[in-house]
Amino acid sequence: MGELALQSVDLAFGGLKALRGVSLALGGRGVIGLIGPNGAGKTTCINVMTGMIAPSAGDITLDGASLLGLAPSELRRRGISRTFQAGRLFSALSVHENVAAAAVGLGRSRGQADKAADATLEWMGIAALGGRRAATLSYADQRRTAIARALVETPAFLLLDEPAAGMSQQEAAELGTLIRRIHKELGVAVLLVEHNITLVLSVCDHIHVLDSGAEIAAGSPDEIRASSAVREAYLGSSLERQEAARAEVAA
Amino acid sequence: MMLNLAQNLIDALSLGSIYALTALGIGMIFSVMRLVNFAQGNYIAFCAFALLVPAGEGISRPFIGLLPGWALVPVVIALGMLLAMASEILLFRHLRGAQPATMMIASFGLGSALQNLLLMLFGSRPIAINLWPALTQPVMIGSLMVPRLQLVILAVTALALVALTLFLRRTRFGTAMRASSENFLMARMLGVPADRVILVAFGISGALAATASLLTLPQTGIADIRMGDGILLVAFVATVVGGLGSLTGAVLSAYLIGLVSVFLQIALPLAARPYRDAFVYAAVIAVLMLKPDGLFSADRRSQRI
Repeated sequence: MGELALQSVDLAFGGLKALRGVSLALGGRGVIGLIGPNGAGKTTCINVMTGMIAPSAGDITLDGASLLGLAPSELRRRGISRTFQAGRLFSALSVHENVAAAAVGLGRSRGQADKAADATLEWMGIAALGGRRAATLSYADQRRTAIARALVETPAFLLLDEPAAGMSQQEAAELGTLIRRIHKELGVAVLLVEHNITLVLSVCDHIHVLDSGAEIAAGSPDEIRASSAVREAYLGSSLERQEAARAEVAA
Repeated sequence: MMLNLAQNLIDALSLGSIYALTALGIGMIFSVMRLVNFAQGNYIAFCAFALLVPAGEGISRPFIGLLPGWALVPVVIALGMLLAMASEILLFRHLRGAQPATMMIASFGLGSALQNLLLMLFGSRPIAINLWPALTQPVMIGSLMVPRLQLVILAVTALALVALTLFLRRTRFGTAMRASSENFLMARMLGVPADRVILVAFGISGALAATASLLTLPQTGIADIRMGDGILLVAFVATVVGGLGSLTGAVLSAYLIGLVSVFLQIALPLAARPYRDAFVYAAVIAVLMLKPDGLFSADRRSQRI
């Protein structure tokens, strides 16, 4: 498995510093989590890693070679795939066509794209959804389809931008299982940007915490849970709130 | 009475077919790049004059027009495709990312340039073209007398619609085109080759213009540098009424306008008939006031990135 890395990346929008010296590596340490309050720069990291935004300073590398200046579609061909906060499916196309369109984008013929889409939907266990128009899907199924579209032809890296947003606890737990499977069975390196801290702590092997564009902590889930800096800045309130809510549901 | 009705229906459908082919040409381009290409009507005129060699004001000297049908049709379609693809490569490609209004005005400019080119080469007077005179012979279907041409128009349009549907649903470029038409940036990010998709869309719109041209010529018998203007106007209205971006809507609306035109022609009192088009467009305005997104507007409100 290769390594995709942000190296001391700065990003400024005018006077606003969206990222400050962020370094992050995907590939070596299993599923990587990226958390932080709103506006911390999590999605921006994904945008930089997929070539949608060029950093003001620093580098993005794949196995040591710089990816700066390459188009998002070229990065996708090199195995860097992503999902979006809002699923952004092609709503008039069927689930199967959404996934096939991504394979077409990778240069496959229509026949090959159909096969690739079949295989991905089958692997995810949502083959039954194939013929449905994307606009008619439930929220959770839209999310699954978006993941399938990103997963077709098995990329080396999958960057998930808040995949659990709007999901029930049950659906989020299933998503967690799916993310582990994507990593274990397909050997895909996953970056998970997510507000659902319970999910992040249970799924990730290594977690980075951003605040105002800079990393304030990094470590294993246990280390992050224990970190006072993280608790203070962000996690404490949000974790306690989520766990209180869960206790309420359980009671 | 029934016979009359059937006759009028066939008139309406063949009129609607020409509008539908042109509306599809406009719709294809609009759906992939949000450009309303007003030069589509000039493509139609260009394809008609392509049959001739310039021989002075009003003089008809056929060139390609002398070819037998099996050779003439593909040659004219290829010319239409080349013209449309050249306008993408030489003009519209350089305006990627420009405001829709900028692109629209550029298309007016292109149309005007094409029209003036034809004016320079062939003069302003309409030129008689005797294309496939056998097609104007009527055939009897039961006791119904139908010009052969109208049947050909219906058959060709049906064939074009089926072929286009299969292309959009079953081929690699068709999938890419439908994805691009919904969310161009997303499709591009997934690696869909944007420039090629747009070029193919232009090629198709050029082929549709050539088809409309070849179907109009035997009926009118003349090539006129303004012959595409009227068709373009109705076709553009059809794409708006159908809901810009919806190809099915554009085709259905084109037929609807054909139907309304023909039936107003019959139903209006004699004194009001010269103003038929005013009634048609009044109906169009009424429709747009009630349904501003068009009759068949697709669900195109999804977020664009």
